Amino acid sequence: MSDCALAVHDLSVRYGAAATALDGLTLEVPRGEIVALLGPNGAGKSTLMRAVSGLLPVHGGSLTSGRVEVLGTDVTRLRPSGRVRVGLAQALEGRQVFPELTVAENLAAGGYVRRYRKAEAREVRERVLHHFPRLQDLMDRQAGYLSGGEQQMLAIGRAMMSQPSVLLLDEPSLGLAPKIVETVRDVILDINREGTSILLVEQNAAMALSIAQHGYILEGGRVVREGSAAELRADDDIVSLYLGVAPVEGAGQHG
Amino acid sequence: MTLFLQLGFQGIALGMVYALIALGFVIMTKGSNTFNFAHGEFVAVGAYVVLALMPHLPYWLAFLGSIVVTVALALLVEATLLRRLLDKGLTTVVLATLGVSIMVHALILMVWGVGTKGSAGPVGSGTVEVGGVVLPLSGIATIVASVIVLAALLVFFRRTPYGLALRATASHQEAALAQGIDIGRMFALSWAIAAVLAVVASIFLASFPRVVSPSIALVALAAIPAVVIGGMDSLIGAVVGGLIVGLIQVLGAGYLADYGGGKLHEVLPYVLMLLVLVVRPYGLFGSRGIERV
Repeated sequence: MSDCALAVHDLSVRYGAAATALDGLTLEVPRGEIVALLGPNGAGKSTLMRAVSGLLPVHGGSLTSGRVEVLGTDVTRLRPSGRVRVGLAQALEGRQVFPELTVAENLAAGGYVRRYRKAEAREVRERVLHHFPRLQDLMDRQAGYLSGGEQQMLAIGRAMMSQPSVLLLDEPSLGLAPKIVETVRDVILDINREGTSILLVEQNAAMALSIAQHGYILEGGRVVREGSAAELRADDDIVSLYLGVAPVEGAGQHG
Repeated sequence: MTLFLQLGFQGIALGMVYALIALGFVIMTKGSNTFNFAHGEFVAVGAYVVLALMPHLPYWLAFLGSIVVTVALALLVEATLLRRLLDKGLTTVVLATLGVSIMVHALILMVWGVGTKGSAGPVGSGTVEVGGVVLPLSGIATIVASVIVLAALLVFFRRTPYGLALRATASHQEAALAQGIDIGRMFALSWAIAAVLAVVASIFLASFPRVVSPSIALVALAAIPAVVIGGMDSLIGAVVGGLIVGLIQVLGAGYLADYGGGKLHEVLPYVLMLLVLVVRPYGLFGSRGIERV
């Protein structure tokens, strides 16, 4: 078994005929750690997430080189469903709950690939919901009517329903009030403490580096800097570039 | 009053048939983002295959055989044509289904000829009288079978993992993919369900006193006003729309037979459809954000 939960080797991505979006990117998430992925809009953060989870084709992107491994298994050729089965789950940028479905149904959809029996499904849901007590009271509510913070909780909870070893979080603090960002941050820490490795993409670098062990900084589709979270926090350039910058709402669609 | 009740009953029976066809349209639209103009011909294929198998097999086996053939045809069209065209845009896909429709229609003419055939319904020409109102057995069978199918569909969508996965796909495709739901399989599943509904509808559309003929596909397309009236993305809307179209057609045929050369009732559903499009483009039960789909 590999000691990496997630390993990305020499990944290059293109959208149609446009310029290369990722250029030979290599990155690792060690087991049990939180790794932060930082960078300006258009740096390729979301593209990397899509390449890892297999959602590139939805956005007209394709891999031109590279390999993605989850728990030592090469998933590069697998469809998104295969990757979820191996143990990868993604909470998409902008929450993206199923608005017409209830909270309970959203969660059930997250466990779809595991084909849980009834009792099993209830047990997993209980375990997921203890991170999100707020959702307990909203189970029959349509997800589209939840607040932004509740939707973010639901999106993370839904991803956790497949009991992933690796969780991809794309901008979980985006557009949320500072107080709710703090709650989200605590939930991420909790989930990580229970053994899930996390790759965290964030505009809010201060939040990300406060909980990550390691960080990568992307620019123009390449890693321009990597290091322990402590090193990055201490770096003056990074502090002036990324820290203290408020999260920008709705930014980074193709970032 | 007796005439009204009799017509009303017939209208509801015909309306249930339209509801089943309209549901097929809506399920394909929601499940795979396409409007399948060949669906009327799927109904025709269903009726012709039942009719072809009936002399050789018990009725229920002929019915099952037709489901196998029609679902296979739907899956073939979905897999070979539509899934490849999806990224070419909605107009391309819809035009392709129109092409398929014409091809299937020609195929039916080649195999079975242009003439009319017998009925393909599960019950014959018997009637029962309830309080002075004469009800044809075929109408009763239509309503009973449709209600059973609708209930089964409801259980499928509300209570099974595949039903949930289909609804999730209809709600947000990328999010469904991210949960590990295989979108391609969901497209195929929605087409298969629509094809099953088409076969059920077909045997009642070809029930006494109606017969199997090449024009059955055109009759089936009267479900399109039902879809528009109910709302393109609403399952309840499809049922209500179907009932409305069935009722105004039959009541129109009964009471307006002296006007418009007895053809006025055929126009009524489309008049109502246009009215709905002007006043409430997303239909009675559709969601406003239909252009998003």
